[in-house]
Amino acid sequence: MRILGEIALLCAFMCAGFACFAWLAALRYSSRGLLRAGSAAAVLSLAGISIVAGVLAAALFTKDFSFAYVAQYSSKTLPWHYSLSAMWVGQSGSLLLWTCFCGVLVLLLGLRTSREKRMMAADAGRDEIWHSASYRLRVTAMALSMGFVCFLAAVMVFAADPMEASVSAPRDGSGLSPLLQHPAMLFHPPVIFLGYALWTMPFALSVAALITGETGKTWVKIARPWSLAAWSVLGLGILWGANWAYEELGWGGYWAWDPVENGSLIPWLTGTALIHALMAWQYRGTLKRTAIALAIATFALCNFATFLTRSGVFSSLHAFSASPIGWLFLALMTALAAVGGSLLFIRRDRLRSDTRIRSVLSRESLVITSIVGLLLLTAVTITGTVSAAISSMVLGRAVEVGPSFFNHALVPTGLLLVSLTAVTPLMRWSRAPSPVQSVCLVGSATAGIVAAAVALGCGVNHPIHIFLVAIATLAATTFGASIVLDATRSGQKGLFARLLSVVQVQRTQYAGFVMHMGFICLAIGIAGSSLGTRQRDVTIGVGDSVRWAGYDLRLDDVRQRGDATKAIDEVELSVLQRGRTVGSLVPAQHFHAMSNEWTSEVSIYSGWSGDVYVILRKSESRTKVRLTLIENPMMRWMWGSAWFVAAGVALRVMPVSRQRSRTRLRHSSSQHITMKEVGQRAAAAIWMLFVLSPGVVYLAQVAGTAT
Amino acid sequence: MTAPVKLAAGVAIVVSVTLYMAYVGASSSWKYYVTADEYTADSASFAGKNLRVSGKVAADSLSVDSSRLAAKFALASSNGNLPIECRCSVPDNLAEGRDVVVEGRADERGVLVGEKVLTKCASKYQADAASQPPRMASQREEVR
Repeated sequence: MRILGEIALLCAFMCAGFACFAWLAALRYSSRGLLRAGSAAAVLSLAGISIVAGVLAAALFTKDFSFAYVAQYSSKTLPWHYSLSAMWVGQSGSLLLWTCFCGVLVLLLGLRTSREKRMMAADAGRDEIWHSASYRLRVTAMALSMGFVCFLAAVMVFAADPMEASVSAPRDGSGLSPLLQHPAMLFHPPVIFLGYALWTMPFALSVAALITGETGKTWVKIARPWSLAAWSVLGLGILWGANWAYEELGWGGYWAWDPVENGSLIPWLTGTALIHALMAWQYRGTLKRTAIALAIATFALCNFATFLTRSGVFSSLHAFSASPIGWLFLALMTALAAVGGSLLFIRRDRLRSDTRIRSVLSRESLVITSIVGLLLLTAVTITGTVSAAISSMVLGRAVEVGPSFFNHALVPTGLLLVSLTAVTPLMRWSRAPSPVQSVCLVGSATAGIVAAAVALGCGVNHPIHIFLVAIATLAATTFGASIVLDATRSGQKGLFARLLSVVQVQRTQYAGFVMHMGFICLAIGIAGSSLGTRQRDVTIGVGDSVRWAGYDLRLDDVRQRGDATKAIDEVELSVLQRGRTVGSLVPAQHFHAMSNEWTSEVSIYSGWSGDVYVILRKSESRTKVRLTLIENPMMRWMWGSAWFVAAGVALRVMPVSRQRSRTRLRHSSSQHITMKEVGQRAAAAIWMLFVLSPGVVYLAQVAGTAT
Repeated sequence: MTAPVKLAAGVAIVVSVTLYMAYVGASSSWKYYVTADEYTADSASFAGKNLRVSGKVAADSLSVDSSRLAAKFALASSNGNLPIECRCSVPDNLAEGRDVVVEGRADERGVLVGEKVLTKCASKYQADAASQPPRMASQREEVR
């Protein structure tokens, strides 16, 4: 089996390299034979990688410790589902997964559009196909992506072989770290690597555009869905990782600005800037150079993240090894930056903006400001992450900045970004808001001020919390007002038909707004949990209660149990609100015999106002225990942001019938509306404010409870 | 004033405020990051400075207060062990032989007074099996 895996890996490496050259040559010489040969090699390469993955998975499930990887990350007692997660816990396994994803995505990128299929089928179109911008772009991008697959396969062949044999096959493996035996580990690493793999496509398409000179709208139409997919998947992976850290590491937090966390955040930040630049390109023909540069930078930063976690240069709470692999990825990143920058310089004239910015209150201005904010955050995160390594090289001593450095920079940029997000729905491309939009903006701002005043009255006293209550209200009202304004312009009759028409015709725009609401939820969660967190250590006996975060926590039971792999000390607490039991908490301490270590298994009671987070510290006796109680306000809002993003993505990809999508709004501009219509729309906006006001008051109340 | 000029002015303000805030954050949080070997080789130059010291907990050196809010141990070093006194919440998995990071300052006795102890997460991409915690042959009955 191991030999089969080794041969398959070598084949995958060689076939990927051949596919890359064959596709580039096919384009150069317009050769159908080379194109087919390249496609066959790509399929063979993916088959080879799949065989390697299959062999490793089988070895992990059958506990074949003759594989060094299995001996290091598995054991006889490891449950089967964690055997699956062991597949991507180690260095070579994670590279294998990344390669698999890239291989599949390259083939997906190669799926021809129906128009191209028709052209291929028709004899008359035989030569025309080579001049199709879409075709040229995608074949070049596939070749470049396959080049990256070849690089990953080469790293595995020469430096991190997942098929490596154990020096002497042990009777049992070292086992998986208990901290990684968590359901989130089944999903978090694959989702992160899928995100990295997806970012290969916008990069490859960007370089393809620079090579072929196809920098028209076709490019942005192909690149934008890939970028959105990569952005949402990587974001989901990061949030999943934060959730794992929150539930498993037992320190009460979810983000420590550790290099491994920053490594995935950095490309996500530049990726966020990229999808905004792509939008400006598609709708207004601006920010073309920025978009291309960001696509290259985002992929280069995915490689930088790999360097961070595998070079051994950076100080981290994660015990990473010093490995030459990290330096290979740094070299790749440097090469990408150099080649991408040079191509961008050569093609700079083709990437001139079609229009100029006419108003500082237009959407283009908002997009540019948000890109600047995101790039500032990226620069700060990179600076903080590499500070120790750079100072060590320059000063001879490693100087490291703490979380305060990142948090201080996050405050102005974060508040700026949520403010821009909140007003976006009532902004227009190229022009300042129309009179009716201006009326709605003033109304929304008034609602925000009223909400802030209510929050202040309810006891919210931190300026950032008050600001966020105002911004959340502003965002909700501008979103509602935008729907109402668009619905009144639609040619449909009836409220439901009008709303449906708005969603169908402008679903791309509203998908973005829904994702923006998720971002505001995230901001509320981050601000609430960062600024309002409280902690207390208590010793409590069975039958006693302690008041915490608006709840009474009653200790019901202290017990000890165990299974084949671990001994468990746990306690059971009832969560009471106004004398009524609303939930229970079971914090525990596990002793893992295999790794000879204790781990805390925290227990969390989650509500809309915040989480009660309980850590069992020590069993004083059979009836008395010491607990650490932490109150983390607004955590549910943070995890809830993922649902908004998911809803936005669903709306974006929702199939709409061709006939309906051709429906256009009756008026594309609001400039020629009568005063009567202005009055009607203003009334509709004010009505929306009242509809939303209970939500605003509720938000203020929960914020008050939290504070 | 044209729109691009106004926009550039706004962007300049945003950049300035963010950089200033980052500077404030850096000046209040920077620490020297050294290994136990580096510290013990030149301990005098680190006196009174904010430090993050990484190292391995030396054998037979760990004693944890029953409240788990204080601990004494030493970090193994080739120049003699570095004594640590922590007055903070002690991580559950603090153990001899484990890689840790201690944040704090050295006092006049040469003891590093820790304000925070962080155990390194033996996690992903760890290449050598030797750095894994030692295997315990016994099962939970022996633990009890």
